[in-house]
Amino acid sequence: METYIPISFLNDFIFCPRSIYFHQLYGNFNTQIYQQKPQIAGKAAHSSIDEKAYSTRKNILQGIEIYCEQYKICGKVDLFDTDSGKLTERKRQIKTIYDGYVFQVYAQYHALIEMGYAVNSIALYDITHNKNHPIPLPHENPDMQLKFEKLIEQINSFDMNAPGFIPVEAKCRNCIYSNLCDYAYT
Amino acid sequence: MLSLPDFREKNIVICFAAEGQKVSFKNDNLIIKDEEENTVLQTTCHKIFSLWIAGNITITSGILERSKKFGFSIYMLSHNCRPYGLWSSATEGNFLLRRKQYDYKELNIARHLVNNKIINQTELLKGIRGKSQGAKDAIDKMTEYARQAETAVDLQMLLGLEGVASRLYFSHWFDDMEWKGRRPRTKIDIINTTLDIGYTYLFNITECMLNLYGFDLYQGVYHRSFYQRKSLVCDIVEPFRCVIDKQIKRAYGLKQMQKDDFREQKGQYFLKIEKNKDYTRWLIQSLLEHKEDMFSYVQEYYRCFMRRKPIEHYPVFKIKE
Repeated sequence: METYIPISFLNDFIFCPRSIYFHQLYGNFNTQIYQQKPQIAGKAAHSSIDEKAYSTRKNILQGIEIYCEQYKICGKVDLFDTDSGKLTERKRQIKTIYDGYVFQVYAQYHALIEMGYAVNSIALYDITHNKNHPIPLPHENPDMQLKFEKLIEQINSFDMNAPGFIPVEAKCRNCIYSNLCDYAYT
Repeated sequence: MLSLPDFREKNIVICFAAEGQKVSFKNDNLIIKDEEENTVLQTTCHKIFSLWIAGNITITSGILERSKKFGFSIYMLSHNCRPYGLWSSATEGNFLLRRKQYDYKELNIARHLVNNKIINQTELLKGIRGKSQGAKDAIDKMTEYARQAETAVDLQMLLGLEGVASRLYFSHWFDDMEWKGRRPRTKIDIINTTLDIGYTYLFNITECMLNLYGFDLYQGVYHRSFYQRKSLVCDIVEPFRCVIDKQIKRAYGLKQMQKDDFREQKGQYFLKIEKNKDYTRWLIQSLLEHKEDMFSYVQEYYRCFMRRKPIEHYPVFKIKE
């Protein structure tokens, strides 16, 4: 069967590889059962994209499904302007540009290129502060591209049972799955 | 335990709740009625292998109880036939099988599955009338890939062989049908959208088959455990995927599959809801033509796996041109 990594895993894996396992256990539960304020707010910020209600212009692709064969990644593009070639990922609020954010747009970039689109620029958009944060394209930042490829390898080879996992207390304290996790700080 | 003669009599019953159909029971018969309360289908529960319900419906405890009693699973599908829930009759107490699954660390079954898949893809290409030189070359290459798969030294090599063979196969199998390449979930053309639907049905039927024996579906032999992916189902569908490929090409040729059946939205093609039933019918039909093959395959796989038989004893599914 065709298998792939959902784009959302990239950021989640960096946060904590084990969190994805517990997230998947919840499967199709109503997210209100386990999501907390930050997740709910983030989802609300994305609602116009998910409902494809952001723009009716033909050149604006919103929420389209994408697949990258090279890296076996699947997911959705937030916003892509086919005229200008600008790829935008909207975030409710951006305090820090985490690697996970960048890798998510890199995955979208590679998929769009494979699908025959010309991507000329990438930006993270902070909805709260109405601010664009330009992100260099993968070939303009080889170190980041290399990190992105390493992350894909790590996800593909991750073993929940492998010994030596060291939890990060600050992350554990903020993890919505800590009640399920056997490594969580209590 | 279900035997092949029993299984021959079994059916997959599909209820399209979106069209106002309703499911009810009378004694031990399942009845599907349409909006006007006319009986569309009446069948004894003894003859049901799996009940699939597409759309919103009210399910009574009587239905759930009978599914356990008669050993059929119930799949809940959305209006566009995306599975979102399963009420299963799994023989979940088969801990001996599961222990063997967890202890299995070899690559021989994975090699066998990939080899079987590539051989079937090659068979389909061989059946193309008036083959181009490119297709002939592809057949030669794929025959070699299948041979290499039998002796692949590690998983990466096997994955690589499967990937390169699939690309080559698809490019020639769908070359007369505006084929841009296989892109799961992207709906970039009507073939990819229909492949997604067909593979989902194949996946569901295979899952039902594996549930008969109590396999841990998350523990694969080729697809490694990856969070909550049903890796074993992904494994076992591999040799059978060409059934869907073949049916789609056939339906395209017979004009059962047309661009007008799809709603185009910014480069993505969605099957119109009113066409769900037609497409489901001919896709499922192709799988049901092979239902005995699939049943025997899974049963033989189970027996071989339980008894740790040599790989040459494992089943092979051969697509017939």
